Amino acid sequence: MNRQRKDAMTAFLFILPWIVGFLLFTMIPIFQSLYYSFTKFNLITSPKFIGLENFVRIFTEDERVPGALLNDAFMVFVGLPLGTAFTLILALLLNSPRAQKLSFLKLPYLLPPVVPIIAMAILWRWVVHPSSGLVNTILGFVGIQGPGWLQSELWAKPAIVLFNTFIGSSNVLLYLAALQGIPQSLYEAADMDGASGFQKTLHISVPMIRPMISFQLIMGIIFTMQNFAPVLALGLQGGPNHSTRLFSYHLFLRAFRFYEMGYASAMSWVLMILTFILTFFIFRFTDQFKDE
Amino acid sequence: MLLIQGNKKLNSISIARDKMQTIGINALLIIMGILFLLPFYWLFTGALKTSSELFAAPPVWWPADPQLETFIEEVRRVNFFKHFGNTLFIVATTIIGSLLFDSMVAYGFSRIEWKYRDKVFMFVLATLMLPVPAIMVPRFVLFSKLGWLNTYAPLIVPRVLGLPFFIYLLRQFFRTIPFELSDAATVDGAGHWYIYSRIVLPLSKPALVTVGIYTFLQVWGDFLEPYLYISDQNLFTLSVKVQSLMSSLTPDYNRLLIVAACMTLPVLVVFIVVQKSFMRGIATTGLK
Repeated sequence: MNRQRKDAMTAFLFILPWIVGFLLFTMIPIFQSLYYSFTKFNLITSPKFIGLENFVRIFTEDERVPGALLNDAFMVFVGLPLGTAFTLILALLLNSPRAQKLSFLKLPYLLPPVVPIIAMAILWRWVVHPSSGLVNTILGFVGIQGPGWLQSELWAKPAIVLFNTFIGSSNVLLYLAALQGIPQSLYEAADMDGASGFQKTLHISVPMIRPMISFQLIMGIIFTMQNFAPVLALGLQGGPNHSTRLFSYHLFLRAFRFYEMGYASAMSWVLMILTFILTFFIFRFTDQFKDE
Repeated sequence: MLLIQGNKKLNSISIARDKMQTIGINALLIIMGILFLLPFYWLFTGALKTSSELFAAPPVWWPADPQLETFIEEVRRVNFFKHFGNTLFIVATTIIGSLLFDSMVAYGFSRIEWKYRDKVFMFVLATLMLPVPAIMVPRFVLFSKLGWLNTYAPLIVPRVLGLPFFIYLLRQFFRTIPFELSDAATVDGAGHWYIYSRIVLPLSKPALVTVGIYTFLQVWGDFLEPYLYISDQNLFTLSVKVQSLMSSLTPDYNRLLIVAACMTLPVLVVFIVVQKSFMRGIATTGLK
């Protein structure tokens, strides 16, 4: 008994750094954020309780919110599935028995995520330059007239999607690792039945890594909705004409440009709940898949 | 006879199609690989181009006269080494702090028996899911009250006091170290601190190196946090410096690409040195 208590005491001391960090920088801030969301607070004067006013403002008064939510919807329902499909197809190709097992073919996907995002953003801004950028030049080789990308209201969001897919390229290797974990016997059985490569991909490979796909989709939703670093780093400032003003970026502006800490806190709770709802639906959707 | 011949013909057709598919897939993979590497070639050659070459149409693939002098001049003019030093200071402090505290916490969650240990650890992992925006605003308020704005404390202190992912990684590794070793030491009268510092840590070099590398990569490229908390020019990290150069009304692309290339170089060096273990790391974390 004595020994057990002594061990518990020692363990407490060992994990103390985490406890302190968690309480101070996570736990208390979250409760504070909840409190701030019901107040008017500009950092200088102390928070003033105003009830639900902030939330009313988000849903009925703030002119930028509907556009921001539509931008988010495009990023989540169009951008993310396309990016995921592209990443997944690359992984499937790498996993194909016909693909050469050379690390040279895999290494390029490790690089973009580790390079500082701001350096990548500088490069990206230049690479998608409408007239002399690398992307439009390559498109020109195959006879496509490239769009104005970051300067175009229509193409700025797709440019962010491409950027996110590029800096998230290590996901290719996560999918590949999952694909390589599929038991070989499944493929052998399918071979006996004379299944084609495409059939095997559709009926074995993809279903077998479904948990990884749904995990990646959830991480993707969280990243897309909550991380405004790409918009900031690409210097878009929410433009052109508010087309890249994501909800999270709008939140960032309210908090750190206008110091409306109360309003921004309320926005962050709305954003959190939206993320949670979407995540929940992904879970439900993938579960349904399983039942079939 | 006819049937056999027909079969043979069919076979040679399917073999030819097989070959075509093999060539097609590998060609596609090589092209994709090149497409993902091309930006880096573009970054480093871009840093040596003249301003007019940068925006020439069609693009210039190789600078006619690599502008080494401009390169050196710009590196000096933007005070590159001062911001390099600032960034390095934050990275080094964070690595040392993380290695110490994360390993301590991981030890507490793996090598000491206590009630509810694994349940509490699940909770630690669950905190990974907590949303950034909800914490961002109140943290800013907290740091401004503590007088931490325009210091490196907001970048270093929360991070070294335990990141769930690193604690998880180290804990998994510590669990593989044979318990006979610590039991024997306990019989000899050694306490947990002795076992932690003299037995477990020396045996965990690969895991500690992994944590160190991840920390380096994350902190070196971190952009949002220094951007929020540091506004004093002299304290700028490289990321914030680049951001400030970019947000001027007429950004000088020459200068931007030079700084971007210089801050990418250390990452590439580390990456090339450790790529094997890094690849394994990605594979195992992916499989968890």
